[in-house]
Amino acid sequence: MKLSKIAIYGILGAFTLNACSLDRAPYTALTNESIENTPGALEALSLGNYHTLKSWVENWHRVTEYPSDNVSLSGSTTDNLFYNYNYQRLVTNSRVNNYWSNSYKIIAGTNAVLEVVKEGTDAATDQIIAENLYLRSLMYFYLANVFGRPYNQNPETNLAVPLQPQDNPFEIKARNTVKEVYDAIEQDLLRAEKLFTAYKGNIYGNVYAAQALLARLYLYKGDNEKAIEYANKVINSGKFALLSTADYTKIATAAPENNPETIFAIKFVKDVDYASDGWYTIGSMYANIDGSGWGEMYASRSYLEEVRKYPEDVRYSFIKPVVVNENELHAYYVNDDYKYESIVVSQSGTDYTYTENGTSKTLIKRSNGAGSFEYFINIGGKERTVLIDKKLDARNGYPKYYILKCSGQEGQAHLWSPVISRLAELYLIRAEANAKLNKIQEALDDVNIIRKRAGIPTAGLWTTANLSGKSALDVVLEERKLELAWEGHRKFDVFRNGKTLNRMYPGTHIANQNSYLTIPATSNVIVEYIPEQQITLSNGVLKQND
Amino acid sequence: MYDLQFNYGQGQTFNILSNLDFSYRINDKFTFESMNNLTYYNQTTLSYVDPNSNSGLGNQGSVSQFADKRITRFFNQMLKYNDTFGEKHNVAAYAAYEYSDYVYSSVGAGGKGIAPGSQIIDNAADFLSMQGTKNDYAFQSVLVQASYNYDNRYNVQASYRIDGSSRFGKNNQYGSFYSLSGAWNVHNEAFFNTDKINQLRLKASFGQVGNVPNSLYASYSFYNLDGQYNGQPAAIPGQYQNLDVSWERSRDANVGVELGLFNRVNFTAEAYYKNTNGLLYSVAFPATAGWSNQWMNIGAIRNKGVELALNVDVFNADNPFQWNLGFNIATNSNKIKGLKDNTDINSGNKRFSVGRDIDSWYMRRWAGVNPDNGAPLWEKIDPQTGEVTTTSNYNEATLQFVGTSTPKYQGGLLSTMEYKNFTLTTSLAFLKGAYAYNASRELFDSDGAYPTYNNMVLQKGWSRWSVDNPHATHPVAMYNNNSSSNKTSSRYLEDASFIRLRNVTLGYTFKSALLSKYKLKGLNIFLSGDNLWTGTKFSSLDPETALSAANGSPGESEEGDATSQYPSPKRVTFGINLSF
Repeated sequence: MKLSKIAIYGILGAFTLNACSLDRAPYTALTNESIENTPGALEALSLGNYHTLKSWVENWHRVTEYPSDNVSLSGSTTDNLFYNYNYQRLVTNSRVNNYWSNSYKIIAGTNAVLEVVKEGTDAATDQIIAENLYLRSLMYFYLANVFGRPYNQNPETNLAVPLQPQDNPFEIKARNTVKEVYDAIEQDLLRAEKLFTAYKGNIYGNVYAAQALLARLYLYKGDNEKAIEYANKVINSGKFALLSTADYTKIATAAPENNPETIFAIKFVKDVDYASDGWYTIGSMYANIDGSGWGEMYASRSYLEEVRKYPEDVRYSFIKPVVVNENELHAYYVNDDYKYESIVVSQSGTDYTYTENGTSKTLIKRSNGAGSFEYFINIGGKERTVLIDKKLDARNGYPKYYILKCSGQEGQAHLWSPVISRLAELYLIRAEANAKLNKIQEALDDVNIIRKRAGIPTAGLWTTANLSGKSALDVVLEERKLELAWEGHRKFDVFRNGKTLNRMYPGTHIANQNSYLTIPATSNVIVEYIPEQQITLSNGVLKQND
Repeated sequence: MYDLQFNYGQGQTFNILSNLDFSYRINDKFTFESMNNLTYYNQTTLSYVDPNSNSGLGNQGSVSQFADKRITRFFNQMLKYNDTFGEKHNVAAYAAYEYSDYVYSSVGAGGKGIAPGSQIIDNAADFLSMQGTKNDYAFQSVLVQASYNYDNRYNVQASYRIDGSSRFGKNNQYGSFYSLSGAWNVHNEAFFNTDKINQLRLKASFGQVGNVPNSLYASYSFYNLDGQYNGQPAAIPGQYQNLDVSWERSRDANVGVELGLFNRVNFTAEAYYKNTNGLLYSVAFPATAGWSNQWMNIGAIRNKGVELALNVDVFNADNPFQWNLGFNIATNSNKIKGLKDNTDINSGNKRFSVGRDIDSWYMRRWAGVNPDNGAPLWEKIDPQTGEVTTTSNYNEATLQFVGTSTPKYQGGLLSTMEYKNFTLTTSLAFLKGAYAYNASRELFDSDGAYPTYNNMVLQKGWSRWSVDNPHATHPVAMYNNNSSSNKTSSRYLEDASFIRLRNVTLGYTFKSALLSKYKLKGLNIFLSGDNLWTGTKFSSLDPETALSAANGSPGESEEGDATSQYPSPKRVTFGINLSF
């Protein structure tokens, strides 16, 4: 009797002692309580913004690059990236919503850091402030250009995105004008430029990246003198060098720190940042490599024709035509319905012959002035450009010209550290600004630096004598397309210069009568809709684009 | 298929349940009862991808292992009291303290580059993956309950409890709840003496219970540590803290009657009225906030309903043919009575709004097909004047409330017939007045937007627009159609009312005389069919599972579409039951 009583009280006592506390805290996250006592928490929060950049960049690429004339989609897809590609904008586009959300996640993350640190505390603190100011500016820069109209179209009345200066989730702000957002970016970057105390490498915010972004901002604003001033700061810093022609593909395949041309890139670490064999990466849409990747979006015909003008152009090494028959040569051309067609040709010297209605004919050839030829065919009542390839694999009738510029880092099929700024862009910023200031020779000199590096023979370089009707600006924009393709520039380059985007080439952006073949800079569709979900969550504070 | 012969997964589960329960009788009236329970669950899995298989090519084969562990503890210490006075008065009561907790943890790793057949991660040439997590929660309660019974005629019960949960903020971990109930067995009264009515019982109850959020750490701000940049650990803001988040409380009033007639007919009726306050919901911020969400007690909801059940033995007990028929029907309606700042809250394709059903669909309203050109039409409402027009531009169409997935009523019918050795049981279920979103039609009924997908056959009453058929239900079909006609709208919201033959079973039981010859105790054969017939206008496979997905409670999955669940299978079974 007595013993059992002792046992009962013993057990009871043991349970009650260990039972009383209901304090439980998450293991997978710091909390407001624990973050204050965690050494290095500020650095971790700052790194959190870089971490989110890795998610941000995926849809950054889709909203900036897919609406360009560098790409050609080979089918329709349930993925909402379809509407970024074909300009059939959708207010419920999940890609756009995701891009918007990640941008603001980073902005709020930088606000959280910037609110708790004080400028001038020490060198390390100033560095953190500067890096976060740079990241915040980068977010606003793209947001302003994706959701707001180009700066040269009424920046004081056109709306961009809300400036969210504080870490306060309950504050819902209305959209600011394009000018207000540009001004805020400029202020942040100028402040950051002064605060950087260290160069931690090109995968972290740094003073040159801030200057490079300023140069671009001034170019987009039309402040050409400032654009040149800031481009010069980076070019003359001596910190960066163009890759050699032979090493050109290292733009994509080298780890970013080992790339002397890269000013800022978002680092993806081999193996660690590489999930699902690379199936859900940017590059997987462009190519199937080692059995990995959808390979559904190809280099556009317009890009192919330009980059193949000089066979020496190393930029073509980022294109891989998928050959199914090594022994059959085809001349690929585009018909009046913007569909690919091809005809079998056989080579003799620099001539190609084909058979039409039983008679043998020769492709028209024209010298490119540098020892090679461009070829044309007279078919369907008109002369058409042809590209000659071994018989290519095709999807839904679209020959597979894989794009490799977003794949293959450190030998991993679709690993890629997307580049935000690299030295080549700074030369082209300076070129464009000079062209607009009517300093033609200076503009052509910078374009030629890029062309020479691309391996184009001297006869293919520009002089004031061989422009043949083109303006220096045309030449710069063509070069920007060739050099900076799939790096998120082209769409903005066309529209901020008031040009019309020409998409009269094969791809599933052409489907019904309402398809967009050309898109003028005045069109409503050049800016994305504000995601409907965000308008609803803001209870209507956010206004929709036309 | 090629991969299947090479690659495989294996799993082992180890599960221990241990109880240390005892009761100690202190005297005639008091008993001490103790329940102490511990469970330990452990699972390990292995996944092997052969270097020679297709999916193993990129990694030169891989091997991954995963182990997780769950420990739960439950302690309940109870002092019970029971006494009877003067024959007719019975009092029972108890007081108890209860504690339970839960800890889960997991760890996994994978390596790539393996020799064919190797299952050991150490043998892998290179790193592939790692994972691991941990979480926990705890509850504790103090409760007292007392009941009193007089002569099997009157019965009253009262209880009171204080519950604490680790899921709430420190300010608000505890909530107190109570209940009161009473019943009157009228048929036991002396004045009630009719043999036609064998049972008449009236009952009523009133009480309050609490609910916890499904998040284990609802009150905290999260700086999630699952990120890294360039191999350095990173913290990312996620959930925003709410130290005041507290119990969701439901006050439930219930009245009922149970009636038995001729010992053959039973009828019960119950009505309830339930008010829930402090509804728990993880509210999403607009993305400009940066933080993702915050757990809040967002508002109040009222539920009310009636449930009726009737059970009849059609024939006398001595009739060789026996037929039992049961029928039940229930209605429920709910209404949101309040929301924080009276602001609507979006939840997928639904929206919470004061004065509305909590399962209200919120999307564009389909307005058919433009007879002139076959273009899709949606309603567009002028925000100023409220004037309703139509548009063929999806983006311009207005989001609005377009019905609910709450049924008007539902119920079932169960029939059991027995004759000699045969039994035939039939069960029917029915439901009326709920709308489910048939999301798969966005892909399979897309007017040509996805030409490489399988497309569904137009149902009865549907027709495709053409110049010769201008008044159609379906827009003109175009190759790679980009009119957005297949985007989310009430076009794919369908009446999911159904009546379903859930099961029919015909059985035959062999006579024992026959069986004893073969030393068998029993032998029964049966033929049974599940879901053999469903009457519905719903165009997808299964209206019932579509609805069960559609009506998650707030905070759970609200996808509510017909593709997110497996349909109930149609099945015919033949069986033999043998007992020795």
